[in-house]
Amino acid sequence: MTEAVLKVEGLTKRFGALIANEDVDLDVQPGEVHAVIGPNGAGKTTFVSQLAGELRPDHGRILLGGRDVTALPVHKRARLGLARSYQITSVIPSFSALENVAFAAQAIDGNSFKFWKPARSVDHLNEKAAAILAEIGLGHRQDILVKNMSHGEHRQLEIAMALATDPKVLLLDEPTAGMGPAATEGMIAFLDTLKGRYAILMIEHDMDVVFSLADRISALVNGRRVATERPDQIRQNAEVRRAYLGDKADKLNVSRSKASPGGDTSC
Amino acid sequence: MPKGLLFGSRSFDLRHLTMLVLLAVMLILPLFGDAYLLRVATRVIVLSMVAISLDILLGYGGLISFGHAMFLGSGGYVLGVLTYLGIGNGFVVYPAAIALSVVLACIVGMIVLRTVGVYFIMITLAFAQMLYYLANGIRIGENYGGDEGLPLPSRTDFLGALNFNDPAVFHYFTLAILVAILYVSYKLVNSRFGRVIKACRDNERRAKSLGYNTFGYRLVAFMISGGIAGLAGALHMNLQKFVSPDELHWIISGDLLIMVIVGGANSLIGPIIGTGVFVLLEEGISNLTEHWMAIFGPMLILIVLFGRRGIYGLIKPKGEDG
Amino acid sequence: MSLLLIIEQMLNGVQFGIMLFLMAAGLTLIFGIMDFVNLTHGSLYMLGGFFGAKSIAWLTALTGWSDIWLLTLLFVLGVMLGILITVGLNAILEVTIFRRLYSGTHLDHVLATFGLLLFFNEFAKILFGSEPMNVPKPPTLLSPIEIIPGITYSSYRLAITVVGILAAIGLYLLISRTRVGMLIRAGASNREMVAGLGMNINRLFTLVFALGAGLAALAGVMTTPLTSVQVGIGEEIMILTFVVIVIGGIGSIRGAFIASILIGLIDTIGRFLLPMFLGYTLGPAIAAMAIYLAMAGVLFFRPSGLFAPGRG
Repeated sequence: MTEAVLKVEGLTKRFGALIANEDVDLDVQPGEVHAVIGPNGAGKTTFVSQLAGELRPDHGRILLGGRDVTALPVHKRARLGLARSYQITSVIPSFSALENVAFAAQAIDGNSFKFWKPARSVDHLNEKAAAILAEIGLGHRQDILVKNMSHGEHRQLEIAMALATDPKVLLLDEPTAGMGPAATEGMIAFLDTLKGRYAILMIEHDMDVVFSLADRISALVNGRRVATERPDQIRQNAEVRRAYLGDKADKLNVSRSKASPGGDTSC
Repeated sequence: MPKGLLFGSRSFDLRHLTMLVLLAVMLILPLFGDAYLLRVATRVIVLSMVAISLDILLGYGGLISFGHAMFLGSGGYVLGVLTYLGIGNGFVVYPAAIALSVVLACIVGMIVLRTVGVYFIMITLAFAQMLYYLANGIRIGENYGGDEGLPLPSRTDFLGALNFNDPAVFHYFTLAILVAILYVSYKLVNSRFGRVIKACRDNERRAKSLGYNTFGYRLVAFMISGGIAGLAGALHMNLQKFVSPDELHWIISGDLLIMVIVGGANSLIGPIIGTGVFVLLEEGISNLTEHWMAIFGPMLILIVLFGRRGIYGLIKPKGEDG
Repeated sequence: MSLLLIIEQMLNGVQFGIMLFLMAAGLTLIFGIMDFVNLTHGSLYMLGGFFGAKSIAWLTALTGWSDIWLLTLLFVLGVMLGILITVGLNAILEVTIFRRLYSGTHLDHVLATFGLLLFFNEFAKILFGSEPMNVPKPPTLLSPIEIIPGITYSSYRLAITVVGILAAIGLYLLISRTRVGMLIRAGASNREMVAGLGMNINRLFTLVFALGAGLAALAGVMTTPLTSVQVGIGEEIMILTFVVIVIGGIGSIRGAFIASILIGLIDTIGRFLLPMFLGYTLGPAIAAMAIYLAMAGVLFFRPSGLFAPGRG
């Protein structure tokens, strides 16, 4: 077994009497796409917030590349290679698309106490940003102010910004939230190209997306992880089926042509 | 690619015209020999520096500092107190005024920048008020200081190079410094550092999750802003030849905010225009009626309700950002 | 002897703290529920003082009464009239100006209310002059009263402390026991929820504004016989109120109460003790700074105050 890029041990978070996460264990292997699913209120958002560092867990540990980051603030985790995209689009609205991604690239380019040279003429940041935008399909839109872009483009830009920080782990919080069917297809195709290159932890509602991309799937129910299985096995899991019954139980049976459980899963 | 200085665009527009006219007025004003007018003009220049420094926080950094007068006071008091101690050399007292203001900004910033929103507004205001009381406690001998203020005992001397007693010399000196501050600020807000500050204004959470220590960048911005304002405070002391706790009064902090907003935040010439308009209105209306605030107050409300983009917004070409 | 003095100063501190609470209770709700930065709260304190003083003088002149109990009654009526006028004026402002600002940014609020504050100051100067205006204490409350055997205290200060405490209790009952109070509490921690409950949010805002104005005017008019009222007095108390709110946590009535008493005590005792040790220039300056230092200390460890609602 290779060493997990991201490892979560016994993560617990309560808000008063409400248990948001209880004793969650989980890991992401190099190059693996690990999806976390669960009905509404299962504690997925709380889970992501703790991984990113915006919430402090009550108990448990988070290891990034073997290093305990549980007590580190958001920006230090990011510099250790944890990049995230937000469920609700989070970009810099007054910047152009290129400048958003260049700003992300700048984050790992030493410190930014550089007061003189115009940011817009730092070529290596611009080139890196342009390359990432081209790869994700926004190359022709790079000079548009992001407040004038569409929702789908914002979703793409989110991912582009995360990639520009050369992450070890990508934390994708519902990457296709609010996207139409065609745009979702495009996003799946793009995320597929990232497979194997990054360790990806993905929170996702859309089962099509999950079954298209995930190597392993963990289900959260009432704050607890009830299963971690390969996609073809999770459909058979009794607890998962019970949690989804009446809600998305049918969806678990949806099998798309592209959904081929990865044989390279390293469990 | 070359960019037009100050404006980021190469085509000549209303803004360039405004700036050139302003600069020309400031250059030829001393030739008329009207002491009152010259004094008002120099005051506009000095307060413009404070307004620009505030706009770096407010317009570019999104930080509503309601205590910026504290730096106007810190610069002035350092100059005053050092001169009383027998140090009148400009090459010593000016750097000292800037340095102490930067240190003050660092200490205050360490606390205020931990908060956001309404808290930030009220806490900057409260800190300025605290320094206002401290200034009341600064006494030199029996006769000077306290709430009566501190007159400048002797003129600041730059090894005989500049005669600050000549209003024209002092005017040109401040004008040169303003131009230098404008250039440095222009570089600053467009640099990689400036990009981080602007991004923090728009979306601090995102900047953090990309790996930026936003607190650190904001703190440095706060210190730079404090340093510029402290320099202006020292110049203000040389202009008025007097500093008192009134300089740090929170109403002055409010006036400074007005100058920035009325002129147009998030631009570098907006604050200059705003300062000019404010000082001229103050002088103009207060010559007509002692109750000038009764006219000015409602004007502010109307500006907020109907003209949010400031004067700068009117002369800026449409569709251009920043 | 010095123990007596210290007890008296502590009681003065509590009395000042109660007055601060009357200011802070309304303002913390306005900040908390409406996310509205209001710089005119101090003006209401000042206007309350002026209107109250004028009302008392006017009623006394109108009736020509001289009986001490009747004069005390006139004092109470004058206080109420002063509050009424201030609340009415504030209600007009709320409907015509503030309401348009709620949707704006904090900067809009700061600028517009700053303009309004400047206007109020001039307005008061034109209407009442720039000299301090005084009001005699009600004749029944002139002589000191023995609170515990051997210790006497100003009966007027005691009376306004009691009125202040009664107002605080009334506010507590309103907030904790009534439906409106429930909505106010909910609004302080979660505005969207109140809108979601189908409550007319505009009505709630108007109510909170009126409540805040009434309490501020009450504090202003009751303090007038002690300090007299003059232009600019509202701003000093407003900044102190900001400190109280920030320490207590924006939107928290309980936090405002505790912070008010704390600041009242620190301020009063500091002004009393520090000049004895530090001399008459530095002493008062440091005493005036003491509360800000306390604030800095609290904020360094708890950036959103001691009892910020909805922030865990």
